[in-house]
Amino acid sequence: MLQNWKVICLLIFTPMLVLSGIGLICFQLLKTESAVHPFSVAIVDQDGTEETKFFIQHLLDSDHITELANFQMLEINAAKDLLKKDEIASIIVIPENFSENVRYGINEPLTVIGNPNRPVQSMLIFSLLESATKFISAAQSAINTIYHFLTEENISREIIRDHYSRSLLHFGLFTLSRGDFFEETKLENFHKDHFLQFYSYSFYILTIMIWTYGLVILLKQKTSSSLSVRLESRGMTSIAISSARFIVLFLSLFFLGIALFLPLYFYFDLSANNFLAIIAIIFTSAAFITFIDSIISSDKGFTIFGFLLIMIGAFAGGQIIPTLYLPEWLGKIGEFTLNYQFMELLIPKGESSSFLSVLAIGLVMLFICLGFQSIKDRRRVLG
Amino acid sequence: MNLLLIKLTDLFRHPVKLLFYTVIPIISVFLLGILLEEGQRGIKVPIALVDEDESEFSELILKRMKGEERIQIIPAQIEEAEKMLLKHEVDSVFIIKDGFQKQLFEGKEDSIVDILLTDASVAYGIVREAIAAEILRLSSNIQAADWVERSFQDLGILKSSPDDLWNEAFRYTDGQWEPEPLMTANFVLENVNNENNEINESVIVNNGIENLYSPYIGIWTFFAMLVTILSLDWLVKEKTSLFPRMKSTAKGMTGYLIASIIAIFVLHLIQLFIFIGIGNYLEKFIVNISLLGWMAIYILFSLSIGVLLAAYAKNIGSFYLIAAIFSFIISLIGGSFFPVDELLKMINFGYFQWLPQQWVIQNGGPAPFISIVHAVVIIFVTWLAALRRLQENL
Amino acid sequence: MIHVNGIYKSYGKKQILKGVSFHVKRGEVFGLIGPNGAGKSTLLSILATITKPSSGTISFQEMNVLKNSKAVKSMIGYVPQDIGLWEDLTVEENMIFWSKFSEQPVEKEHLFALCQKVRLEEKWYEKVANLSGGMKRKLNIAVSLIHNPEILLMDEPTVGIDLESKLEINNYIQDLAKQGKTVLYTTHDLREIMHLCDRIGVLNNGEITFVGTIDEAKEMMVKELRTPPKNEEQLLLFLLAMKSKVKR
Repeated sequence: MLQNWKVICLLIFTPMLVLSGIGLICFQLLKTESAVHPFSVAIVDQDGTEETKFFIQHLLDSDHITELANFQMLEINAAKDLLKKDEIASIIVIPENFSENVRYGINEPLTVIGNPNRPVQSMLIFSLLESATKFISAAQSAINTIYHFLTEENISREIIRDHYSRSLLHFGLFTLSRGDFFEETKLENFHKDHFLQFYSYSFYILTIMIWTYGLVILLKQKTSSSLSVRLESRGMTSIAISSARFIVLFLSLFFLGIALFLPLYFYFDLSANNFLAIIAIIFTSAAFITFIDSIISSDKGFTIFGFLLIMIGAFAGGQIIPTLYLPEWLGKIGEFTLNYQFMELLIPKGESSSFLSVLAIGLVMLFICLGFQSIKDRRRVLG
Repeated sequence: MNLLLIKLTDLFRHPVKLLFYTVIPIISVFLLGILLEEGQRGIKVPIALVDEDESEFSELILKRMKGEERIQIIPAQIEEAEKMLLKHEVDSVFIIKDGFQKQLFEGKEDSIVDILLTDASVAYGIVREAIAAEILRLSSNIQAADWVERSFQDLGILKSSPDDLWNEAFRYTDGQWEPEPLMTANFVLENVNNENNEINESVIVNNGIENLYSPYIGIWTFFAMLVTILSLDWLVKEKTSLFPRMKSTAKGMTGYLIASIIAIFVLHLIQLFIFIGIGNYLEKFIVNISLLGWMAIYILFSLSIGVLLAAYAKNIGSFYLIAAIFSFIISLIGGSFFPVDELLKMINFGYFQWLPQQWVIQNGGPAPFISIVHAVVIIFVTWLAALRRLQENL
Repeated sequence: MIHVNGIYKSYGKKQILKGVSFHVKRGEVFGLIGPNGAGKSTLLSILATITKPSSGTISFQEMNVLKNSKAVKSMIGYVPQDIGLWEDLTVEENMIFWSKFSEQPVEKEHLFALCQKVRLEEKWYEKVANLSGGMKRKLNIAVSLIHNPEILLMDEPTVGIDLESKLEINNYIQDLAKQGKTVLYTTHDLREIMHLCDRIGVLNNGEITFVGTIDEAKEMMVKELRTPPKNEEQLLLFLLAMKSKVKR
């Protein structure tokens, strides 16, 4: 295996570098919104009334909206043109007769035209706009009520207009002050570098799994069919071969895994218990891939299936998006993945998960694998 | 031509191989795609909601928040909620303080809800806006009713009791939220599907976003590349056993190579059409001629890279490994699994729109002609380099 | 027919062939013998235009091989040491496949006739994977004769096969030589060379140390050691121990 040193270097360094790079980028994104550069959004006001101007002003005055997006007023064709050229994230269209309809209680929806090349930005704008529509609905329903009740009493138009204008101002300002409803407190005794640690562990585990998978592919190719026949003639059973492969895999991963873990250990000031966790992860990862290898004899099949398993495990197991945010059914599937078990072992949650349980999973897989190989050997001997 | 027919016949004579190169990638794409799609659809922010007020209004807030699709409300007591927050079992904790309803009636809305956060609370902003909207609704109902009662008294037109008028005005205001609020928003996606390249708005969803990011095409780029490169493993085996003989013949090796690559290309085109057919039938994505063209170019690119990798691979195991790593890495940074380029643009990191995955995902991108030139040059150069390597290293 | 002049070949710092020179007459069976790693396969692949030499010239019928490689390919039939056949195709399918590499189209009857000559007609519809080692070697030769080449370059064509098949192949090669074909044949087996070849060349450590007939080799041994060889093995050892006493 070591003769393929160039390929081994590629296997060891490439996933590590690329995953670390992406991890750092994700971390930056989550850490500070100020690091995010505002994107452009076009507003097309096809109504052009005071109410729509008020609505647009609401958007422009909201700090948490303008932190994310720059707004520009455009005609619809010009806006669509920019969207096609991927220069803006979305177009907010306020339709004709919008404010009149709203005044009479007729829902005339705003339209957000999203850019499929910028799904995240489009989604953000839509979420913000959804909130904004609710705030405006609150203000407008109040204004409508006042207008309705006064109109029904045959009050003079001047008085009604006066009440209308005052209510517009009052409720408009009121919606802007909604931030005052809340008082935020940050708990200090929570782990400070939570997300950095989360993604560091996540990518560490992914790297270990990719290394395991890659090393098995390299180990497999050494055994040609004629070599297998010769080994069998000398009494080397499938169990012996699988066991030997597992040992080589575990030892290789052990040194690589510990070396990769050391920077994390020092940076996050971890305890020695974490090394036990790492050993359990390496052992079980090696056992798992050995188990898959024993089931799938085809090299190509193993290459594709192995990758698919790792990817499904990474997503469902909460390595990309924490399981906290995933739907319940997916979370349940995720709990069955090794990725999830490994993450639970490493992420400090107050109670420490047992590395023995993870080790036990690995042992069970190994025994099943060896059992399977034993059946294969017996079938071959007995014909 | 004859060699091409021979290769095609040989390919179609092995149904297992055929299935492997057509069915397996399609199953993998849809399996992972459905997982990601449904997962994305169901993403929600779990928060603990503590009701210290236990009033009609606070219960109304709790009830309405439970109806929010993107938020999972876990009612809890304060101590329990704090524990959950510290264990990161919830994103944040919202506490409706004691006196909430009273303060609303008094028009004193400052700090009526506490939010407990940690450094890991990334999604509380969405919840904050949703709760703020509900509070605003209640508050504006109250203020509108107050205004009406006060105006009627000031104008001397009060006919019924003030309480009755107040209730009527409150109900009237609240009634404007049913069956839907006065103002809503629809989300549509830009869809270029006619010859003049005009944008036709096709309404994907009403009043919400369900699937903003369709993962199928992106994931296809990964599996298509992986399987296409793996389908060239015969090159690694044949370059030592058969190529020397071919090179000694009048027609040489190049003709055979080209015929074989075309045969493999036909096979993967079949896979592409089946994938498109299934995707269209299940309405998972929209395909037009341009996208189909880019997907075919992408397969050609994968083939040229595969030939290059096979030309350099010393043995079959190294080839499989390099194929897997290369496909994974380039797909990861090329945006096959999630919109990396957009995320990178957001932090001004630069973006990878010139990676082949983006030719497909962005349907040629903002400058399709340049993308075509780019693709042709890369395919041509890669192919030449591979041929040179194969010729030299026999 | 074949003129090889001062062929050098290096792979990196390692020099495989060091100034190899010899010639082969038309209709001659020329045996190239030498220990493992001497450079026999490399020399043959150069003659077969698969690889290029670092320096030197080669001509077939006064035609410079390096400058006219395409024209030369129609003249040569290369039999590689590894079985260069499709294992999961039949004998018929292999013959048809390899016939596509000829400049001129080849009739199926001609392909079958070739198989008959190597006594493989009964295995015409059999998959190559199911053939014995000897049969595969015979097919390996038949494939190289599809386009009726004038020169046959055979790299250990009988390695690892049974004696009967070996003798059959040797007889066939002699028939081909009688038909006017020029054969360059590499092997380890001196007995085979003694039976088959008109002249031999000894390649040792990248250099030609002897070229001549078996009788000339024996005379040289008597001259050097004042004793005739008792058997083929002794003659072979003597030839391999010789350093650059080339008689062209």
